[in-house]
Amino acid sequence: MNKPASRANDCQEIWSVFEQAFLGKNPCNVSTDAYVSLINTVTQDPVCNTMLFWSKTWHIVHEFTKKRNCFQTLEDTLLGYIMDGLTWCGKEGSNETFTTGCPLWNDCDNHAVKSFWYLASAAFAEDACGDVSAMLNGSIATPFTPSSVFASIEVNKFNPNKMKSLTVVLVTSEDDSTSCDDPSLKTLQAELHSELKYNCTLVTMSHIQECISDPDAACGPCW
Amino acid sequence: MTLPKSFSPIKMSHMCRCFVIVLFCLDGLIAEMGTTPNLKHIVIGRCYSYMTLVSPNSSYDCENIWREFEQAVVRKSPCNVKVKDYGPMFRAVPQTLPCDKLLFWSKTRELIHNYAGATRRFWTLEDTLMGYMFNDLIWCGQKEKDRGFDYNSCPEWSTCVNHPVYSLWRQASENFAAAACGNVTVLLNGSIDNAFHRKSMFGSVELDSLNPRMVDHVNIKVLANLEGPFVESCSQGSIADLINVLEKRGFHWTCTDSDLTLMIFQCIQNPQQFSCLTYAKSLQHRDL
Repeated sequence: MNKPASRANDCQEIWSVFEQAFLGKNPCNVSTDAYVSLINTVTQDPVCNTMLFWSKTWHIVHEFTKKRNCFQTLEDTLLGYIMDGLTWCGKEGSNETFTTGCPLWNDCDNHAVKSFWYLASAAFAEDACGDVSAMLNGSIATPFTPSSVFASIEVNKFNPNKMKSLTVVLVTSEDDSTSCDDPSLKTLQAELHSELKYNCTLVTMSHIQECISDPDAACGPCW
Repeated sequence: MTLPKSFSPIKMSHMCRCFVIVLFCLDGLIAEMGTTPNLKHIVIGRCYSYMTLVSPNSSYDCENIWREFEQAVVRKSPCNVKVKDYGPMFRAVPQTLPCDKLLFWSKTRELIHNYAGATRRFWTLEDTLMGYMFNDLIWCGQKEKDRGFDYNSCPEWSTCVNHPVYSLWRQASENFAAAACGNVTVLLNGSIDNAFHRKSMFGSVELDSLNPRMVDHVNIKVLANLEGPFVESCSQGSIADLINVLEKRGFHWTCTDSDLTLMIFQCIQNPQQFSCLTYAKSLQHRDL
């Protein structure tokens, strides 16, 4: 285990609580509630001021957090790390865990894997504390996309008692004309709790790549 | 993957991607084709080839992969090899893909592999170890289980509930699509009806496996044969159904007809074609 805060966890216990969420159930009938015990079993203190949310920037954001230690996405927490990239499901009348033959991501709503990520995202957002960042995609029409997990689940779980500010890091490539004035970002601002400070900064993809490739540079200037 | 060259008089593409067309065109023909001769040598050889030459930083136990594959196929009757039977084999072939370089295709087989091969900017399923090993091959077990492969004939699609070849490609396609991230490109054929078909491997398995959390943008490219016919395009035909599905799921998308790079590739295969002559002329003038 590479993060010291997680040593208090018992992997075997985590596995059995995890299985309880979907074992013996129709894999299209697993609601987010099924994973509540799992979320409560994994103990890990959030590291304030380092939490990084993301939307439509999966690849670059994880390259960044993998190579540089300054920020943490959900997928860098213990629970997110364990489940990242995995597929699982149960079946009615069976107490086996399957990794093939599971419903595809888009096959159903109360999908065993989707429900996990929806609940984990909500929990990560609820725990967000201090100064929080969000890496959004400046190369698409609506960097703040209403149907995204960030917009539909995470933003309204931010707690102004724990969290101070949200900084949007808008990643663009050279030929994009998007800026922090983008209308979808105005929507984000409007949806954000009024007590939270909002910032936005524009960064090019190549600048992020430079930050990724220089492990000794400070993280501050990255954005 | 396609059937061997002897079937090519009928212009078709990926055997598994084209269920509907296969049923119409090949009824009766597949039953005469059995397991590809020398299957074991080919699969294991390709595995070593991939590991040594194509992707030198990787390390796989080729003999073990073959064993798991063989077990999955011969232990069951020829029409009863399910996706989960290939589970142990897939576990023996884990591969991390450059997730933001994936290229999907439906009914554009020849072009896609020339394009991906030459530009090396994209990966198709056939560029992954799994796809590389099994591309163009046919296999099935014998009616009596545990008697090995049947080299005389393999079942027709239409009679097969769990066809051994289809099940493998289905899982491989699902894994491939589920791994995709960032920008994804799909190449569709503008010279046929139903370029986008919900029954094709792309239209069913791959599209439904694309994860909206990981994939930001789907680039649809519709390409017709240079000489036509020009049946479908971004604004005409089944592509609209694809766009509908993408929008409903929250994917961003763009659609292009007549991508220049792809047209140039088509011209490479047929430089005398009328529309290619303009390119030829401009290249000749560069000497002056």
